Amino acid sequence: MASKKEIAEVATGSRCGGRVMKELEILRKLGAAAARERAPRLDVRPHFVQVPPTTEEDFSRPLVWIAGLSSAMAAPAIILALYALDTWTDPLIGIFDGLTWMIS
Amino acid sequence: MVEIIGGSVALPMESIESRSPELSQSDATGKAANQEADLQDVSCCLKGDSEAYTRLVQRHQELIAVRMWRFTRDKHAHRELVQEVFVEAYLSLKKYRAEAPFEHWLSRIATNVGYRYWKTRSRDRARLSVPVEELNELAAVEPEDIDPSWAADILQAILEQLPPRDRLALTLRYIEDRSVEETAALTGWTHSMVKVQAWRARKKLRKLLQAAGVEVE
Repeated sequence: MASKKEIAEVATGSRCGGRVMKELEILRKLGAAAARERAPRLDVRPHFVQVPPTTEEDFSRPLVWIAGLSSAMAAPAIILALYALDTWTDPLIGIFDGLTWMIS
Repeated sequence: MVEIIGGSVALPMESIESRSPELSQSDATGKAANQEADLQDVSCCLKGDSEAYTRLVQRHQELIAVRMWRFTRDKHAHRELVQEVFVEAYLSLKKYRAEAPFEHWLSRIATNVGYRYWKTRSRDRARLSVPVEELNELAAVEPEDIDPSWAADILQAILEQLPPRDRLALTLRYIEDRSVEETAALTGWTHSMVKVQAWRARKKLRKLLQAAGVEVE
């Protein structure tokens, strides 16, 4: 960070005396000459043609809604499937359940 | 310390316009038409029109190519940097608030990308080797008489010796001749920081040139 003293000195120009300095002349001259050089011509458009758009609009698309609803339906379906599998693999549970109900 | 961020800070319009008072009416009309087209394409792009971004790239890639040529003179790296600018602009397009022309917003991203590139390359600095005699005779030569490629090579060799922050301050303030306000808007630094950074960079540059044997006041 710049100290307050440094900021004040730069603002009043006391540190650089407000005169054109030789190193800046060199820099500016080289810069002015270098600015005449042409940058290489290039075309980067082909890199952007196939970029899929990513905006909030995605949420309004039918496929997104179908995917969301399918995910929501999948959870209860898995629970039911597990329950059915449990009942099918252990028939004694059903018998004991019936006995318990009769006793109570 | 303030760092460059890829947000959307507006450049001061008046300072940029004041640099070209001789701007003709047709130039101004063309510029306004381009800005209008930019806004329309940004809007279309956000709605999912991928062709709109291609049009934006086409309109601005030459300007960005010139800008990034200041950050590297390696053609392969230059192409990568230009691409990176447009990729970054695409990804943060939603943040563009149209407070300043799209060109200025893009310039800020380009400065950020270039500065990051300098930071990654700042570790492998070679010892400065410049043609001292020719630099000492530079005072008597007009910029028009200097070979542009030679000048750009020497300039890069000198600037490569400085830390990225100093390089950026010297490039924007003295080589591109931007005002303190413009430099602050492009870098995200405060006005005081720009002045101090530029002053420090000049001091380091003087020392560097003196150490290389160049006569400096």
